[in-house]
Amino acid sequence: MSNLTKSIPADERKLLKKAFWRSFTLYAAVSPAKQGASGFCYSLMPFINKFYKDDEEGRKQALSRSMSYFNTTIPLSTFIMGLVASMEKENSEREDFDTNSINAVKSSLMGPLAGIGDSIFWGVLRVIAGGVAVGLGAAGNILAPIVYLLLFNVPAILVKYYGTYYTMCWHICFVIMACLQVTIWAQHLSSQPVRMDFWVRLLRAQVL
Amino acid sequence: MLQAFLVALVVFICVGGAELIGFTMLNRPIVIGPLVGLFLGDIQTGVIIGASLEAVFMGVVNIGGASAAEPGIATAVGTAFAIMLGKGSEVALTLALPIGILGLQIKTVLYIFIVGMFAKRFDQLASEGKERQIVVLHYGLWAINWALYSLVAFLGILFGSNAVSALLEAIPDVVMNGLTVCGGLLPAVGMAMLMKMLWDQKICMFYFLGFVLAAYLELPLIALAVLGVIVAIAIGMNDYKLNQLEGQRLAAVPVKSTDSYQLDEEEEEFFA
Repeated sequence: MSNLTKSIPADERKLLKKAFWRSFTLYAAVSPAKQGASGFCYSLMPFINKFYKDDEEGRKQALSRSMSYFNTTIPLSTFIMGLVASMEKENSEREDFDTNSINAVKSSLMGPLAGIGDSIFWGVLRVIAGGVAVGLGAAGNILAPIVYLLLFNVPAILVKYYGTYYTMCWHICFVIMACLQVTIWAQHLSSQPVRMDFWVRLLRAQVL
Repeated sequence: MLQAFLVALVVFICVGGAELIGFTMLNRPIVIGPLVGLFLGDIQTGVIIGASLEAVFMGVVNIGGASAAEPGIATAVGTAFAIMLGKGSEVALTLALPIGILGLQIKTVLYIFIVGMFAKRFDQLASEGKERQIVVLHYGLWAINWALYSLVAFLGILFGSNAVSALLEAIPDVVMNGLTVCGGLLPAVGMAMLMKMLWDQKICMFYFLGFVLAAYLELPLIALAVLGVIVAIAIGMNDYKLNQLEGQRLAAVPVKSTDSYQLDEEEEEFFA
């Protein structure tokens, strides 16, 4: 894992850490209309301020882009944040970048990731932690809530922490791939629902 | 008065805190029960009620924001009444479900009419690039929303305790016994809701195996967990071996042109 973080420049690593801490508040102002939009925007602010330092108009646009509807499982949210951040970076550096692709990637990833994340964290991890803690608690053991919180949160926060870094390392390769794929895939969008296999293949292509 | 304030504080810290530091399960009964117990001076009862309510609410999963009841306020108020009135965990179980359903309605109303109102404002601020105000609104809405929500618990305890105690006195013993038995059944309902998600005909025999081990052999939880791990490893190794054999078989037989297509299709079905 340390190799993973080393390949990122130090200043970006600092920003990622900031986004990681800010992402805890993803659903602080949750509402049916926007879900985690304000939290997403809040988490991305450090990146946007850095990338669009000299471009006031670009900064405003990036802020409104990140304020669009966002809803996914929190431990996997940082993965999307890192990806969007790296795309915003590309956008700030290149003239011909298609800004629509940023929100296209964001909104097409959050559904599948929420599906995976909710089943892993809500469906499995919470139940295992609950099962252990209920056994302890029924016997009157005061440690039950502490055991419960540790069993659930340690894996969840670890996933969230490393999720932040994963995207930034792959970002250059990933962004090019994603842009290509999104343009191809956008043609199918009208007729086909969100497909998981597309992203799995994309990820696999990055790893191998 | 003080007790009502303490319970409201627990609701604010746990249910609101769970939203502030996202998805940390602070708002589950097993955490809130002991905390209410701690504040009201009976942590032992709090833990036991928390555990039994956790078993009830374990099946309540809000995937995509849809859920049936809000366990946080249900546990806080239910546990508080059980401790304050000196009744057992049956009272908490009986009270918790209606309070939880009511709590969810209130939460939804708050979401729509407090936070939802500001959705447009957020967009406007973002397009004007006013970051500071976004941050203030982000945290401010959180504080207002959950302060109002815990106010419900405060008022409920403040004005409800006489009413609830009178109600419990008025209920005849026969009905109360029935409610007690029902309360004992509720964890089974919670488990059943959970089973509905996890049920699979290939692996359901392990459910019955576990039931026999727990009910007849009276094994402790840790022994059951170890047995479960052993079974999982044994099956996993078996599957791995089968997979390898299959690979060897495929390598030995000349590859047909359709094989790669079939694999692809299988993969697509899996990830679809």
